[in-house]
Amino acid sequence: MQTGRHFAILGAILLSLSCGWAVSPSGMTLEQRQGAVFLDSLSIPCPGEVFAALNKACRPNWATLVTPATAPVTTDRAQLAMAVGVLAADGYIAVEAQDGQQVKNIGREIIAMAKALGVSQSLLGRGNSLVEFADNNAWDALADELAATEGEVKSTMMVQKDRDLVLLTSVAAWVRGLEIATRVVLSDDGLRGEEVIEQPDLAASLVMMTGNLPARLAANPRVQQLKQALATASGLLAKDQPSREQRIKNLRSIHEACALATRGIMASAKVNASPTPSSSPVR
Amino acid sequence: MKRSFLSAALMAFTLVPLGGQPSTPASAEGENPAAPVPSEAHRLAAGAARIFTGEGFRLREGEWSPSVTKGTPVFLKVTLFTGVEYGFVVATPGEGRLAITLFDASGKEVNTEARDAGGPSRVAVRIAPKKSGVYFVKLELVESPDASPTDISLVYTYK
Repeated sequence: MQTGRHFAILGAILLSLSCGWAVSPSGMTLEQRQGAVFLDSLSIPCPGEVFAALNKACRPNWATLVTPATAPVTTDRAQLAMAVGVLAADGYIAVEAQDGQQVKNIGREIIAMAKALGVSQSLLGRGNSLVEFADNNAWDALADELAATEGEVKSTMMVQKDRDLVLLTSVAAWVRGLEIATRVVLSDDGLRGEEVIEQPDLAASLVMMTGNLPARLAANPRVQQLKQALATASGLLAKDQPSREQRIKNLRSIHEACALATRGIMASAKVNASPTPSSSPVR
Repeated sequence: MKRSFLSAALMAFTLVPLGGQPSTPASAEGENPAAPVPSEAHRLAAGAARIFTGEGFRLREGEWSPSVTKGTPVFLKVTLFTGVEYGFVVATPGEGRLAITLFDASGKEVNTEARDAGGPSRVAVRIAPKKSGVYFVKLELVESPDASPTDISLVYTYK
């Protein structure tokens, strides 16, 4: 009788495992988790979310993180798409710093990038709105308008079936956000905000997605630098509970890899502008 | 005032459905198309999200617009941060009753606060994650007048 009950329990466990239940029946199955959609437009946190989380964790001095908006002079569409992502992240920083002039500059640069990408027609009104909101210190509206501008560039690229470029824009924005976040956390004695950076699953997903880019994009040196930054982040964030010293070292490595990638994205062939902060201020 | 302007702007400009579309090679280089027309489901979801944006939440640019049938839920992977509040909204132009459920990385259901977004075809939940990391959003057509696929759209807000 007892043995029969054991068999029944064992049978139920085997049945549930065969159905993919790795948690209680009311939770998600392993199969469902593995099959969940990963959508670059929603699954990758936008810089605004990352910075909102940092704000709650450690109140960064955003004014020190604002950098000049200098878009690259290039005809490389992959670089232009990535530059839109970097500029969008910089726009959020300028909004957090309440630097209206910088937001206007960044908006202008994003629209210039959109023109170079051939997706600017629907953006003509955005520039005026950015100027108006900046002049009125309407910071929330500015953040929304910047996000809408970036979103519109991406959605129009989708219409043009440039889905891979949309991915590059989202990834570049995240890498720029990671560069800033690591800088902020490394500047804090208590490493407050570290949990915002520690997203190994996300980094691994982005490594996988960018690994599926077509050969013509994968061969682009700037895309390779971006992928290298992701690989560095993915590898180091996956390390299990390292010491404080090792964590600092890892954060610094991630920061430097991300800074290198964004510098490459924003560098022109003619003018070697460096709109990203150098890695030197990081201890 | 600015919120209503933004809502109108978002209505006028927002996105084409992005979910589940296969990668395709670049084309139409040199063209300069206007912004895509938003789907009706997305228009409704963005409108219903006003219950959050009116409270200082920012609407995340982007959407997920799959088709669902009753009894076959769909799942989206997201990354949420502790210290940030999120508001998720799903809507359909159909007559079905929708549900949103959130799960943590291990697949365990997490508590959310249901918000009134204007009826069973427009559902909203708020969550303040206790831990940063991967979460899963489950969208489900709980009731439907027929068995045909229904267009839905998910948007989310944060502050």
